[in-house]
Amino acid sequence: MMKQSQALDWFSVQLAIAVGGTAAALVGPWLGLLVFIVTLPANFFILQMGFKAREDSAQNKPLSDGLAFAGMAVFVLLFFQVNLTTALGALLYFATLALCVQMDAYRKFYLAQVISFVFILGGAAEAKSGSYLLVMAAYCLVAAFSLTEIWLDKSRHVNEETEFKLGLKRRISVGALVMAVAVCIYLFLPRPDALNLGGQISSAPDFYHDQSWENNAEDSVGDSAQRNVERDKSQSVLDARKSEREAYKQLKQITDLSSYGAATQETYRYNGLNETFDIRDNSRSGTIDLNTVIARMKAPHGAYLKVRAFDTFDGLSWSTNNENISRKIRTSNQGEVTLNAAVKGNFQHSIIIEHNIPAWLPIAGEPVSLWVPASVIALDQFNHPLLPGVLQAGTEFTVLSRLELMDERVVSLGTPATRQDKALPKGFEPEIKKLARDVTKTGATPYAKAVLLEQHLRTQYAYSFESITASQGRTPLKKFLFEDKSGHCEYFASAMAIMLRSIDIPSRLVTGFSATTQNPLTGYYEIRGIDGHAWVEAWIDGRWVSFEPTAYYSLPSPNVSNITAEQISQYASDVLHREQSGIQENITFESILSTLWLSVYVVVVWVLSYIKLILFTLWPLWVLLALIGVVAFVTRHLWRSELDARLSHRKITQYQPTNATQALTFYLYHLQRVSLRHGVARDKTETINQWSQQLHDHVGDVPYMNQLANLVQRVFYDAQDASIGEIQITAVAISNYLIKHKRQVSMTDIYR
Amino acid sequence: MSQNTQLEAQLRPLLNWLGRYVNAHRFLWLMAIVAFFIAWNRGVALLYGLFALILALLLVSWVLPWWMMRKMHVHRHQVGMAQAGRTCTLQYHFISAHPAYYLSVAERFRGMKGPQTNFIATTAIPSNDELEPGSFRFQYQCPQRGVYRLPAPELRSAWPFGFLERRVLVSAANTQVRVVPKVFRIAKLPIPALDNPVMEGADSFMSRGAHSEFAGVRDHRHGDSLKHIHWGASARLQQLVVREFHSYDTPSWLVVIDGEEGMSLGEGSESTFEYAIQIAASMLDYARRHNQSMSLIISSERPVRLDVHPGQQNINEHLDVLAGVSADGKTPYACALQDALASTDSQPLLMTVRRQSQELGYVHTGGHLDIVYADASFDFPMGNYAEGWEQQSDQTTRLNLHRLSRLPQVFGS
Repeated sequence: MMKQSQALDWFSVQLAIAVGGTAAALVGPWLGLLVFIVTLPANFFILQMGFKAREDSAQNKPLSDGLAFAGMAVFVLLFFQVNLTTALGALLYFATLALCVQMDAYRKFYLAQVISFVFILGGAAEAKSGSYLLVMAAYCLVAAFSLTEIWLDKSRHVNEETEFKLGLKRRISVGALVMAVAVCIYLFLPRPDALNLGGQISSAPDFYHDQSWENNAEDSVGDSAQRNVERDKSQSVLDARKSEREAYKQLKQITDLSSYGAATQETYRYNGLNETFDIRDNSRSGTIDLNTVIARMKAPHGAYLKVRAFDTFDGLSWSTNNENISRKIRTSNQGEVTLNAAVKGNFQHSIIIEHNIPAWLPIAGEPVSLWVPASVIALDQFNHPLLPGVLQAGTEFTVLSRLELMDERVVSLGTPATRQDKALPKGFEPEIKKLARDVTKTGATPYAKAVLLEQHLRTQYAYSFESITASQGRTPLKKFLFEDKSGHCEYFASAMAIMLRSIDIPSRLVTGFSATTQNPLTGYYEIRGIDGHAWVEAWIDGRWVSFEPTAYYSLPSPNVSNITAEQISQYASDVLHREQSGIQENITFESILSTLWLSVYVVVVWVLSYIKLILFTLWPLWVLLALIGVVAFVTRHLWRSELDARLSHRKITQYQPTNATQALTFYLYHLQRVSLRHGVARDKTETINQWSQQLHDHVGDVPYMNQLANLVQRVFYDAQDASIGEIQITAVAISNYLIKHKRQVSMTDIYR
Repeated sequence: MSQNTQLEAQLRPLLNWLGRYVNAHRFLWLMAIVAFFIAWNRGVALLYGLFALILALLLVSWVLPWWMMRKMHVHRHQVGMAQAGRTCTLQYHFISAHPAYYLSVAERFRGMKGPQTNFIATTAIPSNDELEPGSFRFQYQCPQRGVYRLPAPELRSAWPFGFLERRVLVSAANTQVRVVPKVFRIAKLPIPALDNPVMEGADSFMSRGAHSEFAGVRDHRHGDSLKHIHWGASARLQQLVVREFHSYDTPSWLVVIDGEEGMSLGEGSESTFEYAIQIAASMLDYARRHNQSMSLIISSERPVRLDVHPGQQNINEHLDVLAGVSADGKTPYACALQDALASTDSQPLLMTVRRQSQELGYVHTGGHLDIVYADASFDFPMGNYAEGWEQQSDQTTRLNLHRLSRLPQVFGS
């Protein structure tokens, strides 16, 4: 039976942190804060009631039953209004309260601890923000306090006579120590690649469903392709025109982001990469927050996520020759669809959409299998999958794809190159072709030529953010190549694609996202507005090979460090890189907050990156120090006792005693250390007189030793008082003698 | 039985199993493994953070107590006299550079199966106002008599979270404890003394008012009455001497304990030798309280003879000697008895303590209290054995005892 309620007080805070933190992870930080504020007094009140009734817990049974009933009611409400996870969380919380109100045994306390841990664990699994680490830290700290108190209580260690209180200062110092150790472990904890056992993630606020798509859908890709071919053969011109109109209507439906609610419009400044990939939002304030997180990706390493491919360039803008999304495929009950059964996937990645984007699924490599929250998907003319609607915030899907790399470039089969992939725009400037030829004249193969062009653009042209807002979706090619020589990714990619075509290498422009910035705290790759990107695919040796002509970006490396410190360092450099080259057209309150938060974040990760720098980059220093350490350890018998003796002698001479017992304790400890320089170690079972005799044998007659023995006898054993001055004089005199007496070091000592 | 009770009864084995095998630190390990596995399976980095936090808690719980105790010195000594079956007080003085927290001191006393622990919240605050900082007094049960060195104390600490208790054996100066035998109060003894010449003609040795006969003088001892001082002799000898009398109504006792090695039955504090020592110590107390003279002889390797004289104030010194006595002698009990009686001038009341199978081989002509332990009771203690006084003859009264006999009740009634 519990004797004191301190453990319960701490536990009420602990449970509030766990529940609030989980709510923050599941719904949002403000709700989490609200839940914390509400649950804290509720927990405290319930636990106090449980503690008061611990002798007769049956009296709280009606309340316990009431809490359980309320939990069921809240569960039902949340299940229909929100989702199952949140409803279960609420039910678990009420069940915990029902348990706590009848806290009559220690095991109930420990059971409640387990439940609170389940909360924090669930929150950690769902959290997308590194801030959750703070919630976990606070939870662990408070859990440590509550567990300590219950241990003291349980072990009957509460000493009422001494009334010993641990004190906030000591608690905080212990907490700080735990945090420091945890950070060190966290930094050097290896993170193996995910096992991905169990089901794949696939969920959405609203299930994607389109009856007209389903009516035309097939069960597999093969059926769909066959039907498509047959339909093409039999389709009349009229039907084709009608079909084009329907297709346009459909395309508008799945790309128009303006129909998704006022709230979304207010918060979302980036309307995604539509077919003209204009990232400006002319209908609203015109501002662009390039730091807005559009999506997150969980994957073994960073990758370029392909959204659309464009094969037609009219001299200023890119488009597709034929918007054909007529191939529809039904998904299984689990939302699974296999796009290419002949190929084995090697790169599983899950994408969580944070802001609405058009219906094309951002996918790395060549998709093999998909797990989507939809009953049907469509494939565009380039075999790229899309859902029957704009991808809404909260949509999660998983893709298993084939990510074949050649010199870290993604290689895919896709649909073969067509005549359109070699078409040059009307009024094509011959200077561009001349430039392409000049640059690639040393290249023997199409691949070598493409690489030369890529390197030329990466090294001879500068990246500029201004052009993003100035001419999004329009590429003044000649101006970029010969006058400004600076621009954003779209300029670079357009220039390379057209230059490749000019030397008879089929190519096309690809848009998507550069998912290369991994948040080391959450493990997710964060895809922000600024990561919207365009690059090039060239048809070389019967395959599409990706090229990155924009120097600002680097093709993602498949080799990611498994050490957290390295990941943090990489993240810090990514964030700083983005910060230094970022632009902000207008200053808004939101942008100020965002900048402030980013600054704090940068400082934190910068500090961590310096830790990494010190630990990893300065490795020769550590090797040297380790060597010195080894040498020092081996020769410690030569210097250790002397060093200890000197330090202790210094302490003895500086010490100003106030209490006889403490003074004798202090002096005895340090005098023993001083005597070690003469090879005299006092066995802990020896009396002062025996030690004194040993000293006499080694050093000779040490003055004041008898007085010291008398003082020890008087103070420790006879419980009599002794003059502090006498103790001090005695100790200092002995120390002086021992330190001044020449040390005898034998050859045996040296070669010991 | 309510449903709750039924459910609890069904779950009891599981709860017992959990209580036995699942403690805080094992539970934390389990949580750490769960967090790591989920993190690994799903690639959830935050769960790696949780894993790191749990590991940090465990690591701090493991290292901090050891770090705190690693250079700790302990001085300890016994305070006061300890009696078998009661408590022994030890005073500790902890010496360390910094205060220690949540310490438990575990001591192993002879006769106790496991260690006994006492908790110290912090060494910075003394356990009471009389002691210096860093000093503590604790009491331990000490069931067995003896003079022995305590093994090194074990310091335990679960600082700061109570998850994991680290144990460190600290070297402490050899501490000798003296545990004197248990003394129970003997209320009354039977009268086996018709042939006792001192008692001849007396109605009872407990009767009062009978006259005494001058027996000699002896040195004055603290507590002797002034009226017994022999002033003339004192003047002649230049030191205080007192008269001694043969009292017709106060017998003298001779208690002979068998100290022969290997003759004792039972083990530890539940052996015939230990029971005999208890009886002897209680007899010393009895004689002191009743102003009777008594001689106690123990035939151990270094024979012990302890005398109690009428008027003696206490028997602490005797008890102190008895604390160190052991059954390591070579002399058979019968010989020891003959020697003891031969060394006594008068004809005292004899008390012997023996096993049932042990023959004295000697017939005492004076009064004899023969205390006999049933041998079989040490093998089968739950058997039905005789207990109580039994008149054997006019001169001999026998007291039957067995292993489970409660001596204070037998002698106190």
